[in-house]
Amino acid sequence: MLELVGLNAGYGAIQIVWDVSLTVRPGEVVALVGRNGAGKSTTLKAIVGLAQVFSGSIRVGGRSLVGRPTALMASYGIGYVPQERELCANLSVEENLLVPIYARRLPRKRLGAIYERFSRLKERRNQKAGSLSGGERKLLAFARILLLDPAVLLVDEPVEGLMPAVVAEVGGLIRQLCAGGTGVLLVEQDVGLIRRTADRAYLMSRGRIEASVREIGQRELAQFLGI
Amino acid sequence: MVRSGGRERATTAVVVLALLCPLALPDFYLYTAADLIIWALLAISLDVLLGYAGLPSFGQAAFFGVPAYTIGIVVSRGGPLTLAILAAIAALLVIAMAVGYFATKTGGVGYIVVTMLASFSLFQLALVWTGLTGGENGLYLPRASSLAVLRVRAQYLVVAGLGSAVLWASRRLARSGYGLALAAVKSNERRCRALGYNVERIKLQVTLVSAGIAGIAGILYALVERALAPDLLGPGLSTEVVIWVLLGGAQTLVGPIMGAALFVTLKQVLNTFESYPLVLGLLFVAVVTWAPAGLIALRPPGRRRRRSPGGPRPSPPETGLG
Amino acid sequence: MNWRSFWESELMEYVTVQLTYGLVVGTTIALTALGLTLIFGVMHIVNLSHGEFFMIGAYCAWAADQVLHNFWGSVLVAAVGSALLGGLLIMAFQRRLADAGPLRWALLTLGLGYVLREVVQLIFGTDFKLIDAPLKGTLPWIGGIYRLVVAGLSVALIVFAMWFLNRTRYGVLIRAVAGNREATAIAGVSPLAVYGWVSVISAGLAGVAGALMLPVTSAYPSMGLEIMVAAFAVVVVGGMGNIRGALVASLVAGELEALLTLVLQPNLAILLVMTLFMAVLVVRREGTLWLW
Repeated sequence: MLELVGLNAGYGAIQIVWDVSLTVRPGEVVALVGRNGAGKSTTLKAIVGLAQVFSGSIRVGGRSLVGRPTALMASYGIGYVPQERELCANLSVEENLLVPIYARRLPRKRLGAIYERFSRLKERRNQKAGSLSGGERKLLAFARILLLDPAVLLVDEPVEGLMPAVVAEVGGLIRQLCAGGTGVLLVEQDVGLIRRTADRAYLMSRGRIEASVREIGQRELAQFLGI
Repeated sequence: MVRSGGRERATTAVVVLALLCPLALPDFYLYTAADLIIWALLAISLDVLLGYAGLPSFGQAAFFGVPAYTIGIVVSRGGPLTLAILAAIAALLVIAMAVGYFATKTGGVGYIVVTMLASFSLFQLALVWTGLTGGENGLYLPRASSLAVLRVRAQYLVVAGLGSAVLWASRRLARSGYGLALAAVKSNERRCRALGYNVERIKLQVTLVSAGIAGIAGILYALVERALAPDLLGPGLSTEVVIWVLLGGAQTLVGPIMGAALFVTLKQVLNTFESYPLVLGLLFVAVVTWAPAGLIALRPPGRRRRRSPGGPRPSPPETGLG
Repeated sequence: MNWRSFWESELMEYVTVQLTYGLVVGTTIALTALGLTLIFGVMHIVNLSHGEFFMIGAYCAWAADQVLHNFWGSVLVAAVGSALLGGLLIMAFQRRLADAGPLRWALLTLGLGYVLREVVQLIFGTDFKLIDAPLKGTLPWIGGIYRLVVAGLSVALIVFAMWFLNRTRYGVLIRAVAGNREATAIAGVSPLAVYGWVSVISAGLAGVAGALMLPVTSAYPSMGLEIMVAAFAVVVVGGMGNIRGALVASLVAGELEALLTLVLQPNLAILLVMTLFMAVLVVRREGTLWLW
């Protein structure tokens, strides 16, 4: 279980996230909703140590993550799929998948399981990741994080600019994951995806959590996002 | 860039002090003072380039040594001094154009590499081309065609006068609109380009200005010191200038002058102390690592500012520069 | 055989002997440039102290040879010594300068190089440290056997390094960090650990190159500066961070220099090659993408 209490975070002298508290329990998909610049992405980055935490606590299964290096997140069961630059574009598809395997000394046969699940990646295994289409890139980014078998998955706007078919695929993937017991914190602006996948949502604006909602109504969401 | 009046006063004080020296000191110290002014000019030349425009010239000695050698070569072949100075200016122009062109064309790391290469190549050339440069023995200017014909006081006044003129001009440059353009290019090249600045031309121009200042220093050196050696062109001196500027505090003009003065003096005082350059190097490494005020100006500004919504702001943690 | 063809064969032998020497110079530059590219590609550091590890390799080998009286053992000592020193130095500052920009790193390594040069001068003095080639004898058309062996060893080392980077587990992780540090860290790789390997490998390659060149050029304090200038030139010409480009440029530089030495003084030959490279730089600007 992921638990944030009173998190203040940002970059250097600039504070972006103000007093954010939230929880993600195993097996649920929690959406973090807000407009551009609301501080959603920075919240995720602060959790994995890519933004500075000024004060507050971040705990996973009782263990504090504050001040821990990003490279240890995988061993703490945290997975993170950033919005952009989520792959090593200079490496082939297979090498991208090998990175977590080598890093965590996982058995190589997990690669086979991933290829079974994502046959498109298998077809393109020797292609450079930088030459993949947007949808394939996102799938590869998910695939390499799935190899780590995270207990908590942080996903930052996974479907922005993708075709509807891929959006559905990503949504299915997220539901499948939480059915397996993974807690997912989903930063998203796509109302359709939020409604289809999320169990509940936090509404965030100007760096603060404004509300926590159980039932996600389409109209309220759209209004909040200003669409 | 508006600065407090303290620096203004400090600069004026330095200039006045430098000019007052001849009234109080015996001849030997005048020589030393003239020497210091020459090295300070070299430091200023690099500060204009590295400090204000953010262009890392690691071969500044090339702009210093080439005109010095040109004077030496013409004069030691019996040429008149006027011709020598004209030739020196021409040679400097050629070398500065060539290095500046190549360095700005390649940009970024290329600037370091090209300037370093220039200094290194000219050093090698001075060593190899013994017929022209005297090789390792260097050149010696005859007394008659140098500033040595003047009395020491007069020599000193020439150097000090030129030096303060250059300092004044550099300060004017740094504070002018052009200085702002340099700062803009230094902090965000891409944006400058988008705003319609011809970034490459600005870089080439400032390289030429810097080379000009270094060239004045080189010409003065040849005329006052009269002994030329390949080291005046080499990577050793080029590195030392960077050290002076950084130690003193880049982008201040006064800092590099102090740096040069301090370290040239120390060198003369400690010339029996064999490991002096080592101490200088260690000090430099320490300064770069533990970042004094002078270094802050060198931090590439990459952090994006965002508006934060009211409320008390917690004191930010150390940002890695401290 | 008439006198004319005799002359021609004599001249031809000159040329082929120089070609071997060019290969030695080229592969030496390549080994040094490889480390330079690696550190730049992975850590984004313009390492201006890199050449000093070449020099330290040579001095290390000389000192070890005084004790061991075994050249190949000394090369090994030099490799390990320079690798450890390089790794320790860079990593010691990596902690402090983690967020520093490339200019500050360039200044720091400039200072480090200066310090290393001065330290070596204090310890060993400024005179040339000579050593006899461990393999005597010359071959017709090729020249000294030792030179041939050095060229062979260097080529083998380069091939090994490329294999290591492209095919092994550590190679993949190194390239992953070079490509995207944060995404790689998320997958559980510590960038700091990778930086450690990279700085060790980089200094080690330069050290081996220096040790192997000891019997050819002997050891002297400015040798590191000289090789570094050449290595930088080839790295920039090859395209910053582009290993293959740097390797090709190294070989071209070595051969050109060796052949020009037939008609020019060696230092002038180097100058000419460098000037040529500058011209190439300006002609193909896409080779230099890096901005501060």
